[in-house]
Amino acid sequence: MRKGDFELRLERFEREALAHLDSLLRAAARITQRPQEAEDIVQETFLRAWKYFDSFQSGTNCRAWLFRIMFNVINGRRGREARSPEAQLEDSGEGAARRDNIIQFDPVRQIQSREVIEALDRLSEEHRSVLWLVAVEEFSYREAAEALDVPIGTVMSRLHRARRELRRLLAAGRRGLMA
Amino acid sequence: MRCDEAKNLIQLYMDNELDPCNTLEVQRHLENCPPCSHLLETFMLQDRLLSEAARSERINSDHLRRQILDAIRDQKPKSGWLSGWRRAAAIIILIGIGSLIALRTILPADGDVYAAAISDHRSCSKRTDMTLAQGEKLDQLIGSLVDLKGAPDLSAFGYTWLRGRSCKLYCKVKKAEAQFLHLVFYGPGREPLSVFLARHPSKLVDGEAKLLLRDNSNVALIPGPKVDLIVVSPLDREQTSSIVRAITEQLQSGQLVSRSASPAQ
Repeated sequence: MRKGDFELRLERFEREALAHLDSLLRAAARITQRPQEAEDIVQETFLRAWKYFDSFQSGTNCRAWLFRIMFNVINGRRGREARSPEAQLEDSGEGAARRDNIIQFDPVRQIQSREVIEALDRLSEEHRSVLWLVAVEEFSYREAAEALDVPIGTVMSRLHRARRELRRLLAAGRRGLMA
Repeated sequence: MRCDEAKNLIQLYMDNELDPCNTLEVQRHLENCPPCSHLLETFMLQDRLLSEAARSERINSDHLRRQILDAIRDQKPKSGWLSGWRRAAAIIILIGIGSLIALRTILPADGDVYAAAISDHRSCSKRTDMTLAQGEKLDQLIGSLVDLKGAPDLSAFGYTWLRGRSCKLYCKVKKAEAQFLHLVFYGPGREPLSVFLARHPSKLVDGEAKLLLRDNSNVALIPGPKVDLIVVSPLDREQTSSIVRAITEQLQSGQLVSRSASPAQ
């Protein structure tokens, strides 16, 4: 590779891929509920994306591609800890209490949004991921399926359950029943 | 359409993922069914709150961005880059010593040397921060690296201030690391311009300056007494040529100016 090509490639990378840095950072912190690791996860994601950037076609959906890489990175790290998806259901709720330097919750926001974020934190990671992609990042089902590396039907059923569960949690919260 | 059917399709409907036929059916059902309609509104509200809450979280990702870019640059093909610089260093030293070897045949026809300079120029010229030396510190750097009183003065060309850094490169001819001084010139409304300087032991000036176009940048190689320079310029050929002449004159007449007096930043 000629050295001149490196700079051109990096410029394109900055323009097309690094533009999504904030989205990925937010998602990583919220979905994994490990804000301290979010930066590492995102950095590893971009380094991997850089490595495979030549195989990525300019103009196609960079964001979905990046999220796909990021979920791979997250799963790779998770694999080392061998956690089962069911265990995460019990586990959720801890992360909500942690606030990191990079992501600060604006205290001026209304109560409602704090409630809904806390409810989100109580979902399983699978539900939280798919809901985040569709509701926050506005992915289509197909894009979400690509990012999560699951069939579209799985996206639909997870999303379905996630929204229902969220509704249940919010309703329970309003009645003051949330732990 | 019954309520249980509608409820199953409501999210697909909401996400615009439903086929046109079922979309119409759901719509018709919703017009006449307050509970299902309410369910739709709930889901839509949830999503909206979620989205707003997510976006309201403040993020400061600047340092992470820089970290990522730095990590990527560290991965730049080093062996290729170094061999490019080895060649540059070798050529500059050969030029300086006034080697008997026909220099014109050695001057790089391939882009490596200049591409390396261009690449370094592009990465450094973006960094107008503390990592580059200025003022007195820069003077010290210039003195220690290339034994000059000061830097070329390009204010006549609108370049009013400058910063610098040293880079160490392995020199094949010397079989040791050679120091290069990299100066970045800035001016209002101007793209930065770089000058790379390398010291050599000879007082002889071998050959004339050469101007080339590489990778959309004008690059010049200027042989000088005791120091040789590579200029990477964002300007057109004619302007670059004038700058090269000015630098050559300043070098040869020893008119180099100390930068301690130049405006900070």
